Amino acid sequence: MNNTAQNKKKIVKEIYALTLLKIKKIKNDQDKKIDKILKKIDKSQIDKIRNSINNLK
Amino acid sequence: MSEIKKPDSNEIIKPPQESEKKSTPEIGDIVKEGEHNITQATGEIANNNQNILQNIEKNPNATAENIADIKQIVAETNQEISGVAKEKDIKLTELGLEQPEANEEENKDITEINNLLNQELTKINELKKVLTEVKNINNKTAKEKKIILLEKITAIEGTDQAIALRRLSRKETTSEGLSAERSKATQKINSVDRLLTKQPDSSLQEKNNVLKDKLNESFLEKYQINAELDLLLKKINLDLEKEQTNTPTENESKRFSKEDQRIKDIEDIQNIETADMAKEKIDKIMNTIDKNNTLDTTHMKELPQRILMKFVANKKPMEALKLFDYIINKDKNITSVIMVEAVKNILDQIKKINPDRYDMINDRIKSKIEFDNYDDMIGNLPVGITK
Repeated sequence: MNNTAQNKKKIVKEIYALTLLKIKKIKNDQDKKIDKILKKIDKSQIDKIRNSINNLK
Repeated sequence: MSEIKKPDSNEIIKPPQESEKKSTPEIGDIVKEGEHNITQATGEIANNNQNILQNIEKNPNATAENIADIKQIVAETNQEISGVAKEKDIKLTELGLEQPEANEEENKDITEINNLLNQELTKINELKKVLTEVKNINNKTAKEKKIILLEKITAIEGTDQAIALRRLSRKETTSEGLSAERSKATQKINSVDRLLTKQPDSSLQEKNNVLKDKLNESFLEKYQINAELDLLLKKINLDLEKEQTNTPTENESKRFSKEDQRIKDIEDIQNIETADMAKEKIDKIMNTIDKNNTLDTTHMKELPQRILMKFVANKKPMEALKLFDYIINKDKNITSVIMVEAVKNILDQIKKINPDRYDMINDRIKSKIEFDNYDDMIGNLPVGITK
């Protein structure tokens, strides 16, 4: 009986740990996707600046 | 679950403080601590995402497409997190576990939600005062009026001038007005709701329902005030352009007169009391607009929504329903936040005044719109709560 209770506690802990891990992973994946877009925005700005410098030459 | 390594689990699940004193923590303590950790993690993510969205909207280099992409990514994250939380609940239910009782923490949340909503209502009232004040200024140029409006809105919205600038430069105030306060309050209400589905508590439920109503009222008020500010701004911007154009060309004169007409159309909304009057007005404008002109087509899309929200705010659900039918017959896309909130409000008001007709009307609306997640987005969500 004790063993069953201990097992149940262990499973519950694991359920919560796994849920938190999944949530963290979702957030990390999201941040990566957003970073890509932000880099794209930065790149287009750099290109614009580069073009205007070239135009000045 | 066996693939979870012990060190990871120990890192994430901190033993509950109370149970530290005991040699073996009770299962209820483990659940309570686990729920607390998840609420904390999702709360942090929500705040962080709110900042991301605010920053991208302020970023002058971001295109509309960039902003839309990021909004979409954040929406997908929310959906995935909600799926993971549901999965966890199912597993716990399978183990025959009850959720922790509503405790002090949830009651603290209720107080905090109330404070957040009060802050939001204070802001709305201040915006109302600004609106009246600026409307009544007669002895100033449009440029001076615009500066006064900018300064006053900035003072209300906080030191972050970008919010006010955005409002003034992009002329976009008909959105739902998702402030940080609203967003946090929604997040917390949802979190209390999640707890209540697992562990019903009538007193907490009642308090949370009151807050939901308050949140919805603040949403409706914010929409109305934003719509009025938007109209005032449209007028000021047009006057400013006229002031700066000494001798308008023929094309400029035409454009000015068109914009004057668009402003008049919006002002006329105050005289529209029934759906039939609204339909007549919309049909009339529809015949005069240029379908290749983006400003015209946007006007045509916004105007019916403004009238619809007026009916909703004035608690005229049957007129709103008739107008909704008319709008949806013309355009089946109701994914805008405003349309979703309008539908939820119509249903909520019908439920209160005529509960017998609720199911029939809900089915009718459901059959008319092309919306895959209808039950998830409308049927099961309370008014004022966006997903």
